Amino acid sequence: MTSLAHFEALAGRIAIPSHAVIDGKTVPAQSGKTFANVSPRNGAIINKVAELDAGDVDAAVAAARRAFDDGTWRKMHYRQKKKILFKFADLMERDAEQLALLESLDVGKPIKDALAVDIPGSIKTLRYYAEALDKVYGEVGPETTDRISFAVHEPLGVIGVIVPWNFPLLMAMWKVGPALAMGNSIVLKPAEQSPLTALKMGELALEAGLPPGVLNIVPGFGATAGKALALHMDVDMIAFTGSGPVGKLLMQYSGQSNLKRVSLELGGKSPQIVFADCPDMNAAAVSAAWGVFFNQGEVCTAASRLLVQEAIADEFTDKLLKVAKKIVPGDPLNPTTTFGSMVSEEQMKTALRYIGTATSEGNTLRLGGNRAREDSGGFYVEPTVFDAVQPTHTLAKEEVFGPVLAVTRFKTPEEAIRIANGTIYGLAAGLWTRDVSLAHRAARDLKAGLVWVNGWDACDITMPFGGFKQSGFGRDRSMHALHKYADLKAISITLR
Amino acid sequence: MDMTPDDFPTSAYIGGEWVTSKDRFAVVNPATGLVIASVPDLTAADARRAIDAASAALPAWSAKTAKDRAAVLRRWNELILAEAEPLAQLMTAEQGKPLAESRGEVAYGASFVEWFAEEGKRAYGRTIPTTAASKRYVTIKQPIGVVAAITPWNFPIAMITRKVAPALAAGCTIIVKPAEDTPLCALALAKLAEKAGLPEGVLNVVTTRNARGVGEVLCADSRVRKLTFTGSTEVGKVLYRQCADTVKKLTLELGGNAPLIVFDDADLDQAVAGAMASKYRNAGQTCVCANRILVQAGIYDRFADALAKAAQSLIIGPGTGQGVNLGPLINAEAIAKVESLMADAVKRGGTVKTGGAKDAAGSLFYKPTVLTGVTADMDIVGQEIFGPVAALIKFETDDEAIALANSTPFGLAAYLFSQNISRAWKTAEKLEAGMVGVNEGIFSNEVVPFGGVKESGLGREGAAEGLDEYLETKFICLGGI
Repeated sequence: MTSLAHFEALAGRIAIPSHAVIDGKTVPAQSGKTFANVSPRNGAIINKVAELDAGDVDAAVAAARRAFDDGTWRKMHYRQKKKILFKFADLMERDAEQLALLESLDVGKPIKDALAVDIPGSIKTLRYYAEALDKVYGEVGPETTDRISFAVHEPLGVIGVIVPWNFPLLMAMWKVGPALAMGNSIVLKPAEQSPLTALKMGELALEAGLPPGVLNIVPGFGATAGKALALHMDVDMIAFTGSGPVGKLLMQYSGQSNLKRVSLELGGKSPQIVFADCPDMNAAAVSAAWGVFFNQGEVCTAASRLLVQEAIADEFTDKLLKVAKKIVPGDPLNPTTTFGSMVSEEQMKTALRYIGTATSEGNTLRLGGNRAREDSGGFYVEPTVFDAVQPTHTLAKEEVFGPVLAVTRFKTPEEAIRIANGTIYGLAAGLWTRDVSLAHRAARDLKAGLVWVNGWDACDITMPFGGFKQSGFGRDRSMHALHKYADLKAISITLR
Repeated sequence: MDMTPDDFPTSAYIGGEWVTSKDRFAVVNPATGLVIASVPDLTAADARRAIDAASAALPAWSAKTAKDRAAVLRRWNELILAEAEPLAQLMTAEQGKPLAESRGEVAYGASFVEWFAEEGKRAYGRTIPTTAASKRYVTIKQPIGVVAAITPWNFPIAMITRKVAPALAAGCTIIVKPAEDTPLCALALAKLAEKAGLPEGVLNVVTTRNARGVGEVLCADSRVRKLTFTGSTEVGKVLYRQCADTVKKLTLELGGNAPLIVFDDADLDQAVAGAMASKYRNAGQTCVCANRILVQAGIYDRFADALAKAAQSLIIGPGTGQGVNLGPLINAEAIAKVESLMADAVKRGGTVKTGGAKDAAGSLFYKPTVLTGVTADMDIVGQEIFGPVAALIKFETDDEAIALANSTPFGLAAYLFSQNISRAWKTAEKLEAGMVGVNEGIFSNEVVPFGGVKESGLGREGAAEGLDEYLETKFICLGGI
């Protein structure tokens, strides 16, 4: 049914969004400027997208503020709110194939993954928070003699959402879902590499009946539109997923402006630790390969460090390479492709530069290491594995955000934990062992916001997602994310 | 204070007064058979007076803030700990458990008082999102009212504080009827509560041999809004029925038939240590003692040998003796039951690997026993042993072990030993029990919820759940806003 030809034809047929969504209307930039949106699949221009700057952001924030203050969304009857959010989800489901295609064209991820992971994950997230919106409980204080006290959650107001290009729609929905459910208004800036699904999302929200101004989409660049949002005096919070350096800038902008709340989901150098008593070597090898090569390694929780116990290191690395060799770059629009292109030429060059550094630092190249499919005009990098990486090496410390795995060997559990914790990051960590005591001890000792035992990325919307240390703070997913978009108010009534 | 066991009261405690009676009953040291004291044998009419006192004390006590109630509970905790040694001696004298275990229980018992003094401040209600703009929904937590507690002899202090502390922290008042074998610890606790400044009538202790008559009064009186009971399933069912007419809230912590499963991949030393702790603590007289030890075929013989060796190393004797870690059973009925279960098991083909008879230390002592070749048709498999007998059943597959473990009307504690995370977790989920110890033989403390499923009872004691047992939820709808 679905084939490369099918998706190529569909790409020629569907309307590709290019306008911003502000105050219930699709609009061009006030300046009339646009930027070329390139597909990394073949280097071709998909379309020209409105390039917003500070003036447009002002208009979007003003619309969001009006919508919040007049209460059309915040004070809407909860059944009606749910109805609109469920309709929103239904419309995304109706257009799931189009959304998946836009995502794949925009960032080069396999259409197969966009169809199976990004779009259904986004829809599920929206439904989860739609269901949760009338289950936000406050507390009634225990003292009831001459005073009664309540602690209640109040929506913050206008939320600025800045999201990355690796899972454009899903990362947006992890923030938009709970922020909307809590009653806030939103100004969302997608990454300039991947504006399409965000723009489409804004249009679908209007179709679903979300009141004007509640969800505004402002495409543009970080240094202009993003900065204007982060410095805006009338934005109450910035919820960000992206790189560490930008995260630090956003905190500075908050300090320079109105002390807006900031939540940051940043990078990682996540370790996957395989102990000699690993209960299933084959499953662990698949997990070690796909943990880092899924989405071309452009995942904040990529298992970019494999720590393997000395006694099984040779055997396990061979197994891993056997799996990894079968992962071959292909055209993202071909439904059989499991590994696509990097998001941009720049990102490809970054990965190739790290590969060069690893080689020059004496790491042993076991697989890949090159650009691929160059004749397509796109930006592809082979799955790459380096062995004998020491904790002091660049590849063990810095986030590549590409398909490059660093294999490091260790002797004792204590050494493994020490190496695992020895970076500035603390997003995810995994371990494979049959030993119950070791699993519990190591899980608590690992400095990471997510720990997976005998599996990688084995959790869902019901569990909080976010990092320790310089991987950020604040959590997406679960009821914790909902509470992130609210302030606590303590009301005390003295009885007289 | 430098108290001795003799300084503790031998009068009952009602409405802040120490009550005597011309009818009294003897308290016997099970290690020696000697009478150590006598206490009032109160009547149904006395029980009614206790309810009068608790009812009269309720309005003032429940109106206090949680902070004020906590201050009294904290002082009570400090006094219990200050008198830990004489309390432990008193416990060993009337109950028989080794002194080291008595000392442990005093600390364990006090921990409930301390913890609920703290947790009482966290009796939060909720605000609930409204369904209409003109309405607001809130819930508040309020004390249930007068509580009656009927407590057992196996943990003479902890089974009282585990009920009394959360009840008092929540703002309830309470009447305790302690087991007739161990009334002295209950009265000692009341004495210390009085010294701590607990207002009269908030805690009442009714000593009696007439458990049925007093129990009927406590269950029938509509002013008592909650009954909490720890004891046998048989008595629990009677109380459950008796509470029906006044629709009382109930917490029932009843009998168990705990399975302890040792899988082939268990750490042998860990499994033996866990089984020893679970089985022989308090001479096997706890509701969470391993009653059926299910051992996988591949490790069965090694486990049986190691357990027998460990059991033989136990030192049996009066609880006050040097190094003693296995004391007497509570009374003659208890010994008779163990002997009858053993006779049946041996008749049906069980093999005594070690022990298997009474001990020369005294008429209520039974040797630490390991019985192998136990099969499902034996009485010892279906009944609570409440004695130092480890009954080993062999199994082949995980499914068989789980089916065996669950083939009982009880569901209190269960234990399993395995080094495989997946197996341990899946088995723990499938066991029909309120509590599961994984690679661990003892798990009770004040911060975790204790209680059973199926015929092992209702409700939980300890933890936040334990406080909730003494609170009602009131929903308030504020309209016309």
